[in-house]
Amino acid sequence: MTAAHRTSLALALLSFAALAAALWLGPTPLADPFATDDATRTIVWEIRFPRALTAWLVGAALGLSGAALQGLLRNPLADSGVLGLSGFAALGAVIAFAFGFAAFAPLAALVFAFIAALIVTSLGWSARGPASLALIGVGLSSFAGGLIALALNLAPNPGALADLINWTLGSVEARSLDHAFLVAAFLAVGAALILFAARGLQALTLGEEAAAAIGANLSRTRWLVILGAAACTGGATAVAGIIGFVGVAAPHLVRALAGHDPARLLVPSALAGGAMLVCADIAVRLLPTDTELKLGVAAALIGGPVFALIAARLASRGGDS
Amino acid sequence: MRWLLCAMALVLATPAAAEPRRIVSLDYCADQFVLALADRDQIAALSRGSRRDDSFYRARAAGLRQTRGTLEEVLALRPDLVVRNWGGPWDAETVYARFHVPVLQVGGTPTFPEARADLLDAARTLGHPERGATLTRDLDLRLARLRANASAQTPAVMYLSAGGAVAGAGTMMDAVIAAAGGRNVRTDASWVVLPLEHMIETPPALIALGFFEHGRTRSNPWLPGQHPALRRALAGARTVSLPSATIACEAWYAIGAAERIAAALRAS
Repeated sequence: MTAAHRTSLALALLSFAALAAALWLGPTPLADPFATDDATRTIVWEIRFPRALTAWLVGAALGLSGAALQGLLRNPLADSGVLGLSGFAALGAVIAFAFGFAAFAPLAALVFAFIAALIVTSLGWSARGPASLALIGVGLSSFAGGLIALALNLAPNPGALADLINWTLGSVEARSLDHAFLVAAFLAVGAALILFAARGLQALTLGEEAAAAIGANLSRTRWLVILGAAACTGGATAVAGIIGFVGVAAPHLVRALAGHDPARLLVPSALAGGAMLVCADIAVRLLPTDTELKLGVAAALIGGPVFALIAARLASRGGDS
Repeated sequence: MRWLLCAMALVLATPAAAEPRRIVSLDYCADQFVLALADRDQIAALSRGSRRDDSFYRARAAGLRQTRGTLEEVLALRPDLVVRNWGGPWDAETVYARFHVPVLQVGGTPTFPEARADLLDAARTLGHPERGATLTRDLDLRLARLRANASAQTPAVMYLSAGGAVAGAGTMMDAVIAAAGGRNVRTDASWVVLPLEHMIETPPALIALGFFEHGRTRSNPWLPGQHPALRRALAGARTVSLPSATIACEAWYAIGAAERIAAALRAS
């Protein structure tokens, strides 16, 4: 059993434990979450379970796309935010809210994530290296951020503003199994595309020229990874809004355990992202704040310091993270 | 005779439209409708904002249960009606429909006729149409009184919030200014950022200030409302401070702000 397999197994167990804890823990104290009375069944199986499952799937989608993009761009800071995918997905949703088509916000998020993927890949077709692709993405991301700020600026009333802000802060509150199925479907498509590109990602660690010399199809790898990341990010943002940081942090957290091979990092990163977001969501539910903290905020609050600590420890050992 | 007896039997057998017995409201704007129209024992919980300084019926909220408004916490209260303006999930109606709990969407009405209709609709849904009728009668009387006392001229009025937002057309504040007998200086759609230079160059007859006396905004030195040039301009201008509670939500009780502006215009 390789280190990556051991890590995946441990993270799968951690994910199950986190999901089980998510059924148990919440603002309404439950003595026995498996009790068969109506109230308990509703709270546990119709509220907590879909919410926790959605959080896990969203985290897994973001972790997987982050790992794939870090491998493609050979940049440890890459994630779907850097390529503008999540920014465009959020922009799509925000446009739907701003023009009174809130019901179409998830669809708009998906469509805009794919538009960003097409723009990045088309403009980056002739790019000389991963840095150019990342720069195009940063430009797109800033553009989307500006347009989102404009929409907030021009919000027609406080109600619309509240909806827009809630979306941009990210949340899985009140999500149903339908939402979970939507993310799961796009995660499955995205994962299939990315896993097809795994060998290309592996070859890319040698550098583009060496990878091409050993027969890797770099153009195909690029398309598969970016479209796969767009499917994952679009699905996640469509359901949960913008949740940053998981895509950057999850691959780093598992790299120390599973090694630096980008192909072997994909599954553990997805599992780590899922477990991270379920834990963050449990924290959000239990914190006694006046209004529930948004998941995107909590993910950064919890993951940020942990990530900085790990990066600092690895740096002190002389390796990069 | 027989058909009359049958009809009477049918009427007696038909239960009256059931009024909700466990109402939960999700934000402080929705709280105002519930506090104004429902009996206390109909209210299962209000939002955590129901006792804010700018909650219009905050005194009535004392002693009532509060909730953060998450799905789990709301459903644990076994509501038979959820009332919302902007609180809770954006797709609240769809979300609560999964649990067979109806959602009453209130507020967000930028004119008095719309606010009036909204109030009557809420009163019917909450099971007290007579309370809605009483409040709308009062609103109609106060609007008529303002119209009767308005002068032929319509002086230029600007609404300015401490955050630097100025009300344009299509906002409840625009309707408030019109009801007071004034003319909103801003004709832009919706809310605009404080046009400081324009305001200093062509000052309006009256500036209606919102939230300048509010604790949280008063202590924030970075708000546009604290700009030294604006402070100087306000010191030399005619201003009226509007009670925060009347303008924090778009609803019928904004008539109180209109009366305050009208009184300031008459005094000039």
